[in-house]
Amino acid sequence: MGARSPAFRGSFNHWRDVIWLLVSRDFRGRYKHTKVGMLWSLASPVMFLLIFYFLFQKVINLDIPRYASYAFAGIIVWNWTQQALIASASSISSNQALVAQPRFPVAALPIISVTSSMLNLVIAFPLLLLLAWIDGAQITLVLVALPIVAAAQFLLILAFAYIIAAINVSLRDVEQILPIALQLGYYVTPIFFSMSNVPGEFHGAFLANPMTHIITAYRDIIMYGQWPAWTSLGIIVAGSGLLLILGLRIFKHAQYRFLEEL
Amino acid sequence: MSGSVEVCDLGKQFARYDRQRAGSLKEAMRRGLRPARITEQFWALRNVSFKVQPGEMLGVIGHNGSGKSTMLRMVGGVMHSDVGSVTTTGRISGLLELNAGMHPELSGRDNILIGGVIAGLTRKQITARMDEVIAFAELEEFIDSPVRTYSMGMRLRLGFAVAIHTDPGVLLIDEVLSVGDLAFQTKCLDRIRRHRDEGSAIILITHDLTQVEKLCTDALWLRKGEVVAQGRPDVLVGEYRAAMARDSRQRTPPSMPETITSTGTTLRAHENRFGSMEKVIEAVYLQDPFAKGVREIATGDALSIAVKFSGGSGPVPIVGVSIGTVDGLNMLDVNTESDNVAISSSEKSNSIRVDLDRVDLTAGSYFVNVGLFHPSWDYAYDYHWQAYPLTITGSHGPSGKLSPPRSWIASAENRPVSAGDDGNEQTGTWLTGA
Repeated sequence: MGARSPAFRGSFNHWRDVIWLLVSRDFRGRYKHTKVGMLWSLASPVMFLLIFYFLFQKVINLDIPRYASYAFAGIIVWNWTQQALIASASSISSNQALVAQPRFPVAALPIISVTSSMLNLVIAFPLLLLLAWIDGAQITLVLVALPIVAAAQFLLILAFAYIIAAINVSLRDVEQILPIALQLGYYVTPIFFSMSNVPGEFHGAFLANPMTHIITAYRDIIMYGQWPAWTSLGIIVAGSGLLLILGLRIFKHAQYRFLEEL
Repeated sequence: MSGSVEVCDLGKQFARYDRQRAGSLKEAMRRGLRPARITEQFWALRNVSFKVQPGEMLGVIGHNGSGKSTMLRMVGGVMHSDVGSVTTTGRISGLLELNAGMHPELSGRDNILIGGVIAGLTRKQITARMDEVIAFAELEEFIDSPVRTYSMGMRLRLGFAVAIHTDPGVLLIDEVLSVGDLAFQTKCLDRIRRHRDEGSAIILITHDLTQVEKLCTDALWLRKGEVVAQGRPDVLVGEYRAAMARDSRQRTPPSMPETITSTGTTLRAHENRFGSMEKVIEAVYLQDPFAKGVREIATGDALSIAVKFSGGSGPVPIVGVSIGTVDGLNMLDVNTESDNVAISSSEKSNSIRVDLDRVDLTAGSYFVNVGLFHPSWDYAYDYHWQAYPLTITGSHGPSGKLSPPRSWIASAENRPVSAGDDGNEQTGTWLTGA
């Protein structure tokens, strides 16, 4: 990464502490003042689950077995990506005071955004496992693959996060466009419907979307007790790795402009 | 910790774009692939060179927008220079924006950890000095309460305490030394002096010129990104003050209606009244302790100076009061900034009063001068010069202007070489003013 580059300054221990303390700040700060604390982060995905369940089981039947765990997996996995990217977009532009600190590693900010958003997934996960169990899923050895899938998703989000954060500093429209793009992404990902509901000629668009493969991998593991499709995961990891290298370059290139544009 | 800074021919160029900034997609699409249409390149900083050796402290003065903060950012390594170089040795620490990154819902203790990692320490290093930081901030009793329950002063104390406990080799300070009450400020200044004496290289940006005179070993004066002068702090501060007076004179409207003060003096622009008149002094009253108007007091009497002023729009002004001789020599010069007085300024009318418990001046003619200044000291909004005469009656000295209560104690030794236990002592007391 180039130790001389200011945005990446600091020792490993310092980075670890910065990330840990700022993630815990975001998280505890968000819910400390509320009565039921972090359970609030469950409210929105559960509400969406109820809506989808009513719409696509009762109103229009999509004919997806184990629909509750199926949809909930889609919702919470997508939410991580969505929340992380939106948080990353403003992670530099809304933290001018931190960017101006001579010894603060600015490149930690996107990592903090992605990690903070992951905690909502972690909180919702027990509920997903419970739903899957109610729907008849087995607890199998395959669950050990979960951290690998989560790591692949982390890498994927982070690669985009660096690019988005760096570009948003000089092109603020990113902050406006991103929610719209993500909203579109919601319907090009099998979150509340399945690929079998989609006519064949459109499959290409869905399969080109890495989130389709990520969500499918989670479902394979949790609902069906199957190992994820390693090939597609491998491609995502490799692609994200390349994109991350590009993202870091863009970020490094843009870092000196951060304070000028803010 | 020891450190140094060497800045050589530093320059930074900023671009002013067409209309607004080019930071919108519409703009980016309109201009397509052509480079941004930059109407004007300007130097935010140019040809700046200086050295700060271990144990030295450089005071940087200049109006807002003179490039002070840009320079500090380049020294801090968070902004790139276009020309020139910055070389630093030692760990860089900044007293820049206090409380950056802190969260109001978390406790003071949690926020010390957060502030500490942001300032570049590891969690372990912060934990090791936690008690010291809490003690410095004087927040022992409140440290586990959420910061949202803290007063503004407590928050700033917390932020300052964290930032100062970072073993700086190079310490960059941007306008944060007017934190908290006077006692805490003194403590902060002592701590900074200690860092300086222990070998830190310090750069101080401040509007408080007295701080530059008192603390700094060197001074640098910037105007529009260029160095006006650099050298001895007292000399530079003097020149800077003179330039402010000139600037106020230039901003004074060419003609304005004459007004008559409570003491019967006529105020005329450019004669005894200067300033931009964005905010104006409406009335000034010299009063005794019973709020009765006075124009004459005896040596050692109390005096209150009450000022009524219009708030107008814009920032909260600094109110300054001085007592000077007819020749213009100031015997007293105080203001709300250096005395750390928080003043509220409403759009309409405001009043403020300074009570002097004793005025120990020798008999003679003096003037009270009153000014309303821009908070950055760039210029005066309204300055009434020699418009309020004050006569002091009582004791005349052969020369000198001070006549405090005093006593003379005379003693004589009987034997030139002795332990002094048998000395004769004659005491006389002479109280003035009564």
